Amino acid sequence: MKYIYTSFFLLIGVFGFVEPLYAQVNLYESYEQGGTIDIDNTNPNAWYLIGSFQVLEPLLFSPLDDTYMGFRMYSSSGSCGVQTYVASTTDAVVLSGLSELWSSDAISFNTSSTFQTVIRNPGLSSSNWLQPSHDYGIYVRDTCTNNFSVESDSLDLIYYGYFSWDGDYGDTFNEIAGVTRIIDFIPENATTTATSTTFFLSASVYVNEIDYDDDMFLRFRYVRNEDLQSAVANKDVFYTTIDVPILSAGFSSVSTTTNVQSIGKYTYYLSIREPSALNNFLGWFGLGNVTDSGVFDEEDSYFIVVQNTYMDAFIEQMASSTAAIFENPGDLSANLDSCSPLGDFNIATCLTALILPDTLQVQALITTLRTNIFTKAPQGYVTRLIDILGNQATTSLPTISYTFDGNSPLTGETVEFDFAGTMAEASVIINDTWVSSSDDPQSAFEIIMPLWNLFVYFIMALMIFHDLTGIHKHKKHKTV
Amino acid sequence: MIIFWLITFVISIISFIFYPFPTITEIPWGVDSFLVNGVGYFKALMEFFPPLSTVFSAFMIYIGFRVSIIVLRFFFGSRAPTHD
Repeated sequence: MKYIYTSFFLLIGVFGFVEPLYAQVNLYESYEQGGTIDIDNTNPNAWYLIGSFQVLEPLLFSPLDDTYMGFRMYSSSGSCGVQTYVASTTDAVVLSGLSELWSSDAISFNTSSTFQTVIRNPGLSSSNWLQPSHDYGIYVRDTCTNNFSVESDSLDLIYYGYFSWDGDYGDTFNEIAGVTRIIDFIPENATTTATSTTFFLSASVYVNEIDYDDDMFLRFRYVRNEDLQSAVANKDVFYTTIDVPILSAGFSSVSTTTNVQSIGKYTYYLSIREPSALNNFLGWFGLGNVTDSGVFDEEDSYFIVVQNTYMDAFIEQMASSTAAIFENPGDLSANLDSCSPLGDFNIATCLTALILPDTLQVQALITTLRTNIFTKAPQGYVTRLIDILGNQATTSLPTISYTFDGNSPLTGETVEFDFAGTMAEASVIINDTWVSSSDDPQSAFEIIMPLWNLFVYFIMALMIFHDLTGIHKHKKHKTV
Repeated sequence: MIIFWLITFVISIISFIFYPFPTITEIPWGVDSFLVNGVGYFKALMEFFPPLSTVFSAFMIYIGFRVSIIVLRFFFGSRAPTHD
């Protein structure tokens, strides 16, 4: 019986750790400029797939002779290299920003590069056009041969990956499903941050339509490295795991806050997952999530948590302010030119620039004053009150209703009073009905408001004047 | 530039003092939501009845004046140019 169990677990292990056949290239799905598959007028047998893509991972290579970029079609049976076309750089691939692909210089494929691609498949029959839900390869290679095989011809293959075509014939390129992946995350790798009860974790992810499932989630998982050095049986107890649901396919940002109070170096794992029966099964045996089942993408990094001291805050404040002098000079830099004897020397402008703060600097001061002082207790309560009073947001006026009960003759009847509706109707009457019949018609409000404003502000000025001067009628003091 | 740095220096020292104090994001005991709703209602009324907005603006200016008087008295005491 034990051999059956052993074989079973070995089988699970083999399937769990099996490597994908081809390395996956993370392609951006920014195909907004993409066109449609179209017939080449000059050659009816040529088909062009026009679009653009970006590689996610930087790629650097130095082509020896010619370098070619092309798409490769998988046959429906899954075998490789049956129908291929290696795009010629002269007529089939246009690299935006690169004058020619076979440059002797190193060509850098970086995340900001956008490549316009025109893929031609002159040798393909109609049954071999891009098929829905099929994978297509993208490769860069330094020799040009047809019918190559990735496995047998991998020596000259520099770059290879695939995307899944989820569209139909004639669909635009932007319907190509991208690779489900984690795009970026916070805290970034090797970041040093302060301890906090509201430690911020976030990630932006892309989930394609094919992979998306209602139960899909992003798992934030982190552990303080020194905790793992403790001798305990189950180190999982030291990990903090937070699962945040991914609510839709496509691009989305997932974030949460957590409590990180201990200083130290943390290892940080992120993964896009869906519930896995295999992992649940293994977890039941206490083996944890040891397989890649249900994991679409995974990233790991580390961050360092420190305890900020008072002096840290002071130094940070001073450093940022000093930097602000030079980083946000506004008109200052222009004015400081007037201090140079070799430039447009002007003593008045020079002194002004040296002494008086610039507009942007004043704004920076006000922001700092508010953030570091005015929002702190106890004056923070007053600041909050002012914020509330100054907030322009309105609250919907409630509808009041009353239902008669008991022995009233109106028992069961409901009376409703929609205050907002009543006010809106009244406002329409005042604005649109009560309008003067002059050549330039004005509503009642437009006529009355200037007088009303004058009256209110006059009263306000009178009160301020009264407060400043103390001119008011004194009460007689009672004498005993 | 010089005045900016001097004011920054003063603000930094005051920030240094207030650093351990908690940052207030809302007024406790439910007062915050009460005020937010109340002011929200009032501003909704102001949209229908514009004269109210003038009263509110004047009120805010007067409150600002009173607060600046308090600040002046705090710093200058009896020398503040205000009437007791």
